[in-house]
Amino acid sequence: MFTKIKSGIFIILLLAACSPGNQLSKVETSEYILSDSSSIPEDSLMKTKIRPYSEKMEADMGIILAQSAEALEKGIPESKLGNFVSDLCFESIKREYSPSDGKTIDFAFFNNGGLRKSLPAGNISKGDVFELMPFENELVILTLDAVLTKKLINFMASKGGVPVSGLRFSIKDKAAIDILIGGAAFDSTKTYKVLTSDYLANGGDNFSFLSEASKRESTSIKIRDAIIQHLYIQGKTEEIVRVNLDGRIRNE
Amino acid sequence: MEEFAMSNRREFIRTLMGSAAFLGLASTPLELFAKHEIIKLTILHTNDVHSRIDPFPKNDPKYPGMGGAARRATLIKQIRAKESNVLLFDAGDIFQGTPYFNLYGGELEFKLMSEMGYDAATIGNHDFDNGIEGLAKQLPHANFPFLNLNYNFSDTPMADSVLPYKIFQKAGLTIGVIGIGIELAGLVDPKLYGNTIYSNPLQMADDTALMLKKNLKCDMVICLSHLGYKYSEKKISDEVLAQESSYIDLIIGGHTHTFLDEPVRYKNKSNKEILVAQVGWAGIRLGRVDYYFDVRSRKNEALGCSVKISEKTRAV
Repeated sequence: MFTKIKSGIFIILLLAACSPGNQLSKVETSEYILSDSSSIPEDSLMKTKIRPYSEKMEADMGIILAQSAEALEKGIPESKLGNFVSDLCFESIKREYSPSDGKTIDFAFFNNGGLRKSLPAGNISKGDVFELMPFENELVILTLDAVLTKKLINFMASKGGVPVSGLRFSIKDKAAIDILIGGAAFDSTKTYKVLTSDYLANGGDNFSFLSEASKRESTSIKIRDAIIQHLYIQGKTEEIVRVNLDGRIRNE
Repeated sequence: MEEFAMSNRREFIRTLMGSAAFLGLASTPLELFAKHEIIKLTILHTNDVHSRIDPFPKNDPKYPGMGGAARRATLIKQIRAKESNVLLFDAGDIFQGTPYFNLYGGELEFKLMSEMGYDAATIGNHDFDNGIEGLAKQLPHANFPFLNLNYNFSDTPMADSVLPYKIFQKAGLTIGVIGIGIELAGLVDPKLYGNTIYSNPLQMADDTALMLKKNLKCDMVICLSHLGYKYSEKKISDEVLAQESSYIDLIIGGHTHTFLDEPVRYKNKSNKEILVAQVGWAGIRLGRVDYYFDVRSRKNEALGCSVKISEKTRAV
């Protein structure tokens, strides 16, 4: 059955009305939870309408890319899912893209809001990756001076941590301390190159200050494609997906 | 259901007796009853369905086997079979979240909602995910209107496709429905929302609700909102709208994916009851609010002002 979970009744009694017309006398509220233990069937007309779409989709999205030792979930200050996606994006860009000025990229960062679903233990399908990263977001490289870089890292800390790669710090009083970039202490005289999504570079998730970046390079590589390619290679080489937490972001 | 129905009856009789006592009228409850006709309006709602056409897979860690458009369709049909005055709404973020959206751009979502008989929807931030053009392109698949009064779409492909409000007539009741959306800057990529201009909806929503009640004789005003339930920071939300407005009766919310087990009751700016509803996301739940209207002869107008009793019970 559908579970009708909660119902409340309250009565608004306006017997002596101030205004003419139809008067509200009572309100009842309730909710239905749609669970699969329901004895009520799925609507057959709906199923018929869905089928041509789902069959075509399944043929494409059902492809198994790789196996994972465990479910990967997002979270703060760091998470297995966040570390997995950040590391593979950072690695794939270092491998497949040469910045026009020849300088290396220092670190990568993303946002938790952009990771839309956990990856399951066991088989990971192409469809799982589409649900993790449904957006068409592309990887972009920003050049930031030290002041803006510090502002960025402090903003990450104020959010309780975001997915990063090549960057380590502690969060104290919502600010970042003990910052290490590529293993080296933060240098207030350096200009940094950072990898992120075009969504964040365009000011999404309140990263509006990124518009102050001195340079922006588009890689034309979609984040989802980077994930799919990474998993595809892992699957081909029969390497099980394993991710560790390494304290890259920690609470002081 | 039977238990539920019986409980309703009991409550109703208690209401009548209580009111007679309150006013010290000579009438017996039965005499009072004879003067009144009660019309029931059933509001059903979803939000943030996010392209969840199929139920979650059985191995999903959080929502195994839950949701699904085909099961929701059956439920809606069953409710329509029992109730004569049903309105069905969605509070936005219809798009994005499964490959159905990536492959088909929202076409199937709109077709199924049309089939289910949605009466109106508002626009969420993720409904811009294929750009304003991507949303406009799918509109032919929707046979229901999109309501929004705080996005200016005049310089976009949606210019002629969004209504600020719509009025529904049900069994002599006049129901005004408005739609409002969240601030796009900082949330949606500017290249996606294009020339859409956002304005703070608070005053616009309340002004429109007042106009609907005063000028267009609406018995109630429902607001479909994609603002989000509430925030720790000072930011317009359904909670703020509920407390700072005077003419909205029900806010059907979305965006924050908040599972409210029942609508939350607030006192509005004029100290009247307003409800804020939201049913999580992904079509896992369907919300329902039944309003009972007392359609009376206008002779009773002169009785005086506002005797109000609020009471809440659990029926199930």
